[in-house]
Amino acid sequence: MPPTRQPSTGSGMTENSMGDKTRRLVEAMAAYSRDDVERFGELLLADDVVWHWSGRSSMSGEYRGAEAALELVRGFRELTGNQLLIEPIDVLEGDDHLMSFTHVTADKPGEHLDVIMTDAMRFGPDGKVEEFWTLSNDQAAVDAFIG
Amino acid sequence: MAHPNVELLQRFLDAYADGDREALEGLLSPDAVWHVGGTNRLSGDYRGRDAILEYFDTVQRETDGTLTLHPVEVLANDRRGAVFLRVTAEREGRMLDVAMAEAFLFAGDGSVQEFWAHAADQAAVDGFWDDGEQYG
Repeated sequence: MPPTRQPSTGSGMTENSMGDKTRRLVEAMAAYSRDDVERFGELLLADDVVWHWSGRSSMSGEYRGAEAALELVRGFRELTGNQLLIEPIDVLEGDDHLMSFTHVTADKPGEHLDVIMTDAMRFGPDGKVEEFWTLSNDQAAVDAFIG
Repeated sequence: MAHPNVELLQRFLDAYADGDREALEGLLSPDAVWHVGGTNRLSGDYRGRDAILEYFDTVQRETDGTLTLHPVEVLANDRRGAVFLRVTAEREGRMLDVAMAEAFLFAGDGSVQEFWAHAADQAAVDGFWDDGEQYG
């Protein structure tokens, strides 16, 4: 099971001072780390979510609907097996949006990934994500790892 | 009261809207890096303030100054920022209108160190910039 930590702004943010969107993301990531991708989806994703995966890898593109999005999430999990470590660095939460920065390390035979990944989200009125972007400041490294 | 880095991002967006090259220069760290996503001919990493300003110049020249940022939400803390926005532009009779998510890393001295972004419809962005027939 990949270890995960609570997101933090690094400025003393505690669970009590988290916004609703950050709290929901933390719950969803806890489910993800238990390998409960279904629960991750129930907590976080609107039925008609659109997930944009950046870059030029086999995963890059647009995934429409919660089922397609969960296939993407499962695919990324399978690719990295249990060798995926997601370490939250920063969360920025606004009225309708959230951006999360994580330090992601992953291993697969002969390959090592060590990048900052960025997940950007637009939340709908029911508190779930309607639009999701996954990108990195080193997209080439992410693309090379995914293949 | 807005975080100082929210104000920094707003100044940046205003300077971009006004085409204020001098103000933009002051808001970019000398060794800033701009990661421009997608697979079009402008995609890639621009390293250093001068290369980034030149990229901005190219974008404005090619769109005849029509490229406009419409910020929806601006977020920041001491180190990082996010801008959610719509981008509209016109080039050679083609229209662009896409939602984007942009991430910023601050240098810590009131300037931007690093930028990366992704459009909701990256294919539309790539087609807008490229002239290949595959995009119609």
